[in-house]
Amino acid sequence: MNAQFQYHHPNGDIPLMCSEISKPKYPTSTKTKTVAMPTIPHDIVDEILGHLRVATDSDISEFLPVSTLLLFRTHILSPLHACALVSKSWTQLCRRHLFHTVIFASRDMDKWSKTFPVPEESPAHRVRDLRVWIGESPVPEEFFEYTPWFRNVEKVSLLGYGWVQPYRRCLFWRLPQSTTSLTIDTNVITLVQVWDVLMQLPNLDDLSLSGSLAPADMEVLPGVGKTMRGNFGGRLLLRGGYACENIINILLGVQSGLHFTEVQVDCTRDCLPSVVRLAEACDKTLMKLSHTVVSHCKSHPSG
Amino acid sequence: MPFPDLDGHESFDRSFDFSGFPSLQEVTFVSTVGWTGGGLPWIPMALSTLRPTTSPHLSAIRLNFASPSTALPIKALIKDTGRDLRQAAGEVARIESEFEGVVNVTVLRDSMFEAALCALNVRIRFSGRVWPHVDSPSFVPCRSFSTTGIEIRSVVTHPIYPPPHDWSFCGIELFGHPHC
Repeated sequence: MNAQFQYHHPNGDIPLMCSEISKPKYPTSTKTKTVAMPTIPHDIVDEILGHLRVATDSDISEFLPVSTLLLFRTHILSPLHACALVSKSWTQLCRRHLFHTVIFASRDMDKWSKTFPVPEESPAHRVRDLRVWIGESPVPEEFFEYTPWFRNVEKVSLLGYGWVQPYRRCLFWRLPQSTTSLTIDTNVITLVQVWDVLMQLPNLDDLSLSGSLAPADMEVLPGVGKTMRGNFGGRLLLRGGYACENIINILLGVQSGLHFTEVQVDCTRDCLPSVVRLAEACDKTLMKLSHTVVSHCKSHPSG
Repeated sequence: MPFPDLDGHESFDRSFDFSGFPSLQEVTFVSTVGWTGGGLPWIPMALSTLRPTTSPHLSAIRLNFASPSTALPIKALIKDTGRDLRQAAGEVARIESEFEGVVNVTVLRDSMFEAALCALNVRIRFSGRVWPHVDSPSFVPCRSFSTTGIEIRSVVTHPIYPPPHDWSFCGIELFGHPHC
């Protein structure tokens, strides 16, 4: 930060970043003279706060499992939280960043409802990245009745592992229509549920599926892909049990076609023909292809 | 061209045909040799379709043929994948020549994989470090690399495993020609 934007605490050398907080005056000569100290414009403060969020998010998201991440979010005061307490004007600026990424687990829906009893007045519209924990101790199914309030969400993640029953179908399917990026990393939802999620997102560009599909009694897909409206023009990542023929068939059935620019598939050798077909479906737009053969480990005869 | 798998079935008669991908910029193939049970035939097949006329925007190819963490005899590795590795090396050489250096080919180093190539007398330029399998008997053959003319061009971080704190036990010069 430029030195001219630093104020020094009268009682020490603690630099303070100020916008509308106290403006100390310094005597410049024997004559008392007030120096007009610069004020940092809000857009610059906003930019700095944005970097704080990005730093915090990337620092903790890259290296911690989601369960630990949730703990971190719940119990540790982030620098952004601290900034929100500086002044009223900073609170407003910070809210945009504080609610940029929101994680909902088992008890968070309750907390949210109590804190923001009137949905229209909640900061749900500020959320751009919505992460929902559906593994053990998942978010209650009622949560999905509230998701339309998150009307500006761009990225939705359904995360979580565990030995839990797959969600009932009827309550699962209300995700924000504004979603352009969907990440599913779980073992608790079924193929039909994945299909149903994809069905309702008309603006979907990026798709990331990893984990494993939960077994279900009924795995018949009605009209696979026929009515999907997503753009499918961004990045596709398929891993684990999701890099399978069934999922690829769902995608290949999209009537408007696939326009992915980047495809990354980690699959067993057996799935190669499907992956080839998937790549060929995006042949005109595909810029990056990454194909990984994962352990379909056969014990070697001489090994 | 069909390729038989371990059970003798011809399971692959096609691979990626990149001649119909005009926007293609990067191609990455990652495979743990020994896990695939019958070679890596689709990789040289796919590479053979990369031509300057049909892939004018191609700038990077990444190949990672890491060996499995469990010990696998080099002879078995060569038996399964030898032909494919030879062909892949040939395609890499062709691509480097035809694209006149525009395409950056990165072959991630792996001690066991290199040992297999060494035994096959296949020469390929690697990028990155050898990821040593210190518990593996295959680590010993990699010490004969000084005769293969392998050149290290750059360091590539392994996507999964963090680098060890001390590379000295690897016995390989990191930047420059291996001399172990």
